[in-house]
Amino acid sequence: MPAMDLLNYCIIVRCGPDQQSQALSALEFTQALLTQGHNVERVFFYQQGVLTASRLRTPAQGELNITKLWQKLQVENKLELDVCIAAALQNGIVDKTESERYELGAYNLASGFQLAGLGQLAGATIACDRVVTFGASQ
Amino acid sequence: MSTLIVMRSTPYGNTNAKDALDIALILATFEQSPSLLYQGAGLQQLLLHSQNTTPFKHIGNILKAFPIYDIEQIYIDNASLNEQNISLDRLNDLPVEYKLLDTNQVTELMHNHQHIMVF
Repeated sequence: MPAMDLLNYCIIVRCGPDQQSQALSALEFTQALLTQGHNVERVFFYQQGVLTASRLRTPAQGELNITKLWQKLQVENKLELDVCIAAALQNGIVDKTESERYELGAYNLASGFQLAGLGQLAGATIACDRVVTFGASQ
Repeated sequence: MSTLIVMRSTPYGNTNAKDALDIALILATFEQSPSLLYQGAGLQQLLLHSQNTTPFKHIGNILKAFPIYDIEQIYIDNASLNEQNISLDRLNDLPVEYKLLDTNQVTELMHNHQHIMVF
């Protein structure tokens, strides 16, 4: 097998969890990178992608729960799952801090995910060899 | 060169234009001087005097901030001008200089950037 350069990746997820194969491709690609020994600096959930981070998602029985799959991958690989805070608030995804700030009375950010600013994405474009986007709508 | 952001969406049809501009502005504050390529329907974002009948903020207001953020690499796909029926004089009031690119130059532009994000 030819020697392969190990690279530093940033994954951007822009599709919602309902966009089945696109959402799954992001997860499986990230999984494959980690299996091959690449570094995944962070996964950045943007636009509809932030909906992946709701712990209240309850797919019908027998259907894939992409949120749980990301959580599993996060625990196993100490992945950083960053959820764009502006898009998250817009879409009703909040953590305890934001819930208290806006007095929302509830929060739903799934464990393993964290709210982050776009600066994290900017930083990743500087640090990473590759930035790969999934679920770009046009 | 670092990041090329390709603008292909209408200004208000979805959040793409705004979301892409947010990334451009943040990259600029990180001194990454992003390049922006306007293609297809994305050219409609450049019409500063277009009447915005939606309740959403006029995209042109963000464009006006480009000089403050030192966003200077603005490219327009020449073929898209015809396709969108936009004459050059409608781009006269853009607050930044732009370069018109033919298809080969668009290809070259993409090759010259490490990261490409399409919105």
